[in-house]
Amino acid sequence: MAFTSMQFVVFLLFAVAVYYLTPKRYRWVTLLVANAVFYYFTGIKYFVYILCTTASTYIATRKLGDMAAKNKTAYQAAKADLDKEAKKAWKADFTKKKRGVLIPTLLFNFGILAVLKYSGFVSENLNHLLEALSAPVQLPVPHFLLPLGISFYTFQTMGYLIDVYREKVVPEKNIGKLALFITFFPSIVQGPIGRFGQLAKQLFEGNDFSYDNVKYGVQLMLWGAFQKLVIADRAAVIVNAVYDAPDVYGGTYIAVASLIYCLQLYGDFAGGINIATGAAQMFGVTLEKNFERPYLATSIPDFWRRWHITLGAWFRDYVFYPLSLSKFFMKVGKKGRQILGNYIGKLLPVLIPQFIIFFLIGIWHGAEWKYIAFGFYNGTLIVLGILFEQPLQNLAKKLHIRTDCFSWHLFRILRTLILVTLGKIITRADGFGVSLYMMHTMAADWNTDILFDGSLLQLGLDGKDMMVLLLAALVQLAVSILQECGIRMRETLAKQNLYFRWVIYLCAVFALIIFGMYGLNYNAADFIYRGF
Amino acid sequence: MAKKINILLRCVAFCIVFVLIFGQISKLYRRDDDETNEIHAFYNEPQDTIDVLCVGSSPLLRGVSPMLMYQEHGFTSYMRASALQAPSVSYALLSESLQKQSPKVVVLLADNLFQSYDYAKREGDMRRAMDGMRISRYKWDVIREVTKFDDRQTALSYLFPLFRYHERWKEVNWAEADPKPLLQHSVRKGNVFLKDISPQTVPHNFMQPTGEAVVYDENALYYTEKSIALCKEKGIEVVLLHLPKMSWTWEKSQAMQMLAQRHGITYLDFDTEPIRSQISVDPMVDYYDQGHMNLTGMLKVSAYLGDYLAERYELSDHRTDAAYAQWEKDLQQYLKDAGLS
Repeated sequence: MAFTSMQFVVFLLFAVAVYYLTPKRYRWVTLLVANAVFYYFTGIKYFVYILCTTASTYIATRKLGDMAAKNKTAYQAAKADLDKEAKKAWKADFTKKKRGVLIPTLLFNFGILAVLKYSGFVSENLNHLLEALSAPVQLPVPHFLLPLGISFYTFQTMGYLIDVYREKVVPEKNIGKLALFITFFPSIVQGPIGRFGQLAKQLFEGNDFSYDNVKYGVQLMLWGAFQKLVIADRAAVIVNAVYDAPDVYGGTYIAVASLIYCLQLYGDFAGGINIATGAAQMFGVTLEKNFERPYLATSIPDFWRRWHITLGAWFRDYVFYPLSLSKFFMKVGKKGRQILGNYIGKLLPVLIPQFIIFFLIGIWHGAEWKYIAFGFYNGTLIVLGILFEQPLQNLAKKLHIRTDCFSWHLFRILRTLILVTLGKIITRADGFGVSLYMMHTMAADWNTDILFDGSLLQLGLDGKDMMVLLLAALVQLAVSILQECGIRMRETLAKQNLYFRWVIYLCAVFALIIFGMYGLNYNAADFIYRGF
Repeated sequence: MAKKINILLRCVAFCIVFVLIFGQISKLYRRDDDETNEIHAFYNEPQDTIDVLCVGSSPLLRGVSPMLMYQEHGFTSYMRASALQAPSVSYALLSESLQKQSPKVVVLLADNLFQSYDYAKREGDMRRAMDGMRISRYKWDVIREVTKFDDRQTALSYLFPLFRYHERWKEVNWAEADPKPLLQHSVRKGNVFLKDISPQTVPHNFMQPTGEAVVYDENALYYTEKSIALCKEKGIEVVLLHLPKMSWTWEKSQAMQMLAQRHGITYLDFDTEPIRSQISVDPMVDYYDQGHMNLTGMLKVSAYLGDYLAERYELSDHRTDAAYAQWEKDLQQYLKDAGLS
């Protein structure tokens, strides 16, 4: 059930109506049933996986909760007799016990994800290795179809498990409510990756009907559908034409297609997230922000703070900090200062975990070498950025470059956009080798004539479609700039006169109906992030 | 409470404005098609005023003129036909027509009994008739069958054709275009004639036994038999019809004959020798292409069919009936349009 299908719209309207008609205390049950129906229509045969994740997490978190409660009672009773060392030993012992529950559950759930998503890739590469070593054995290469949103719900659920382990949240006693948190249908397809602490109350406590919530939700869904159907799916035509035959097109074509791919990916992913967020808002549930004008970022770290925010935050909270603050990396920092000097040495506990994070983010995107390369590419840029931040600031001072003016800000935005685009080439090209070839072509075979002689109109979109794409992209840019200036679009619009608002709403709806890329003779691309 | 009513009223008003604009844009972008219009104009024929209902595909709408038969014999008829019309659509058109009309005779053109109909490849042809049909359970049944067969097609696009034709924004000039509503009244009564001539060569051994193996298409046979059963249930006479076609064969004709016999209905084949000779169809003059009559061919076919129906089925002559005055007016207009007056 695609987010942009009429089936989904009808399903959503029905679910919202039933939700508000249900007595308040049972509204969470309505949502749970809606999740089941959504999952049934989208991929019921994979239900067993999500069931395993729900059951294992429920058992583990309940166990952790019981352990914490018992430990607290026992600790309170024994506290007076314990000295500092004994308290420390008590804490360490309890942590060890908790890990006995945490680690197997993490391994089990990430294991499901790993087997389904990565076992084929690992077997394939091991087979290459065995072949190179002339070994007479070949491993079977399994090809599993991925359950809907497995990466998203696994990360969301494991985040909750770790939060319970850290005693940041109280474990949910009702398995139905936990299942609702894990399967909440607007966010299960492509995120955002929610936190239990933020979502639980909103999901479980039956929200009151709010006209504003429904209105704003519909508006956000419309905007998301516009991004997806008018921008992303139109941009996809050009991108597919060039990326399907990279050896046919010169460097300028590749550069244009890659920039348009940035537009496509953002429209596709952010559009889907906006639909999800809008749908959730209709139930009175506020999902976490997943995008914040990423192409207006002034550096790569800034970009990753604005792009797929919830994934970055997940890795930051559950991988980066534990690694960076671990005893091991403290020791690495200490040793590094002795060997590499104070400046680099003190940065090591940050740099190495950063590199690991981006390696993991790369793998998260898919089981292919190109995604690993993408992770390394971003990791390298981040590490270099951190290492050279101070020297570059000094250089700018020496060259008397003003860094507090618009031109410098614009330069940084464009520089970041180019670096991001190179990264996108790696993920979009059909293999890492192909992406290197395309980058080489971009550098070696440059012909700006194609920008003006109509050659770009041979890529699948005619002049009128190109114009729509350009105008729609400008609308998106204008909205981004206004938001960057602190203007809240929906709230600002709500303050305008009724007739003006209606004109805007009707223009938006009919722009979507008329200019949207949907229907027969056009294969609307599925949401790109669905497969992750 | 007042605030809630205010919100509700605003929502309703917004929906009304939306529907009005949606309707206008739908008319602007819809594919203006003669056959679609003729299918739709049928709904405005007064109740129980059609004596003969003809259902089928393009040879029917090209080859038979209700107005010429009316001029000659005074009975009324209507062609509910479109090019490459699917058997399921023919059945749906027949069923919905019989809700409002009680014809004495139903003529079924069933040439497509031997062809399988691919809903995916014939989407454009499907829409000729479907876009002209009103929403009904019969239309819905066809939509369900089509979308089940071809998941690229959506029910929504059949119910609201704007979702199919929205891509026409590139073709339509908003400044010049007029919204074109579907035709409300037809003087042609479903007949869309063609004037061009394409001389044909009669194939060697035409309508001679060749031993060709003919097989009914399961789906086409199902809907044809369902149509026959429906007519029988309502006590309507059925004529199974075949109109001149150069690719027709003796074996197919025999198979049709057998089908008619099996159901106890009449079979009328315009490619059999006695009829060909009698109506004197001239392959050099009377064909639009190998499977369709042109205007001169239509005159001959309509004359024969009119005589045939009038002789066998006691059809009323409405030419002097004041209740049918509109048919007289339509006839004059039709003859003028066709250049026959």
